[in-house]
Amino acid sequence: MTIDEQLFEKIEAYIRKTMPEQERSLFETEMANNVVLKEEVELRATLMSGVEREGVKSTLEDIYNEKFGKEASKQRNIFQLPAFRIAAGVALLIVMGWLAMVYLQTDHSSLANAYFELPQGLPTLLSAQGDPQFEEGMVAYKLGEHEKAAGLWRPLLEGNPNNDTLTFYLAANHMAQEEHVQAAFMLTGLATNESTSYQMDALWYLALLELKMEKTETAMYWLDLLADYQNKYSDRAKDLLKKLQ
Amino acid sequence: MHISTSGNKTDQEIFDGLLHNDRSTFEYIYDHYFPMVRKLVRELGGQENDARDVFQDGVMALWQNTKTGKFKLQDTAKLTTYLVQICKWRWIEKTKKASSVKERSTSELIDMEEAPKAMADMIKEEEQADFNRHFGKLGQRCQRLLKQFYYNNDSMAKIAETFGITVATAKNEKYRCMQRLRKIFLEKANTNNK
Repeated sequence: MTIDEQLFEKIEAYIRKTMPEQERSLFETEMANNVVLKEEVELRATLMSGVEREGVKSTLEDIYNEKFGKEASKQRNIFQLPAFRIAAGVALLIVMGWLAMVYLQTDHSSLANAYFELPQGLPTLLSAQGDPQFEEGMVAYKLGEHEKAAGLWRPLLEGNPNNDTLTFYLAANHMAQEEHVQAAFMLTGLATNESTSYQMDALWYLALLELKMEKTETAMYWLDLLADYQNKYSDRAKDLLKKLQ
Repeated sequence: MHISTSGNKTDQEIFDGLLHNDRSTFEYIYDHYFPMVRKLVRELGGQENDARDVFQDGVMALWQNTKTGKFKLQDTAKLTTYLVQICKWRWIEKTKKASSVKERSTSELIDMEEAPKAMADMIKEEEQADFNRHFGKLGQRCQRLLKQFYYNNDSMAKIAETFGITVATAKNEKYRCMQRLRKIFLEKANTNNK
């Protein structure tokens, strides 16, 4: 199909929705009767959105290079060090790692345990949920019947995946069963959700779970966030951070 | 008490910023969420480059879903939670594809599979890479002009001023650049069909 400049502008106006309503409906009728024109419009829309995506992609790449590129290249520069310095570094890391294994690993885990207290659960009679299945699950949770609680709550969460109370207590239920990875995954969603009242609780438990899993750096990241803002966990977070540093 | 307080963008502001390809919104998203995603990816065995790629894929998907209306503020979780989840899911998918999912990650897959279907609306890597190649065949001037118009939404008058040409010439250049891109695109499609 030959596209002159006039038709080019017309197609563009149609896709960008800048074409007047009357002209638009005429153009749509024309497209309905002309498959080649319709395909041309689709192709143009593909190209236009491709250019737009390309713009987003390059913007993101630029931002990364401006803000984080230096940091990343510093890390890469390690590989440009002379071999003997690398070897020395590796040897040092091995020794430090061994020392950490021996002296710190159990310390961090037991430190987390010292601060860890399972969420108590909501009062069942006054629960805001008002859902008998949720209430029954809460009773089971408090009685330590965690498999039963999970069986009652999981279907509820599947039906309402954005329910923060259910998410938090299901995570707590995982914690009670020492299922750290599952609990941490559920808590991550809450910890990054600024609109939930469980955000601080999620951050605190996430930090403790990371410590239990020996991921001190990640744990300190969550603790830093907690320590920066006044909340019921900030003092404990600061205290724990001091012990970890 | 929430972590984000003064000086922070609301979800609505981020949403609107994405709709308008606003650079400061992309910067905001990077500043606030890349460090978190980077930690998550590293925690799951990835490197800096993986974190950068996964994050950019995630933001692209969020942007695309916002534009097409697949992501709506009112009926989904918090926008930023959605982004972090997309990135985590994306990384697990990548490692799964590479058949190198670590033991620790497999238990997470169970939960990740329950992630909203909307997360699956990622931009297909191959399609994007194909388009990048076609677009790269245009000259720098054409690439710049087309991006300014279709991505920055700059007026022809502004583009004309940037390039030091008349509006009529700018319009004609845009036409020629798009026609060239169309030709490259169709040639590739015809080659693939043979």
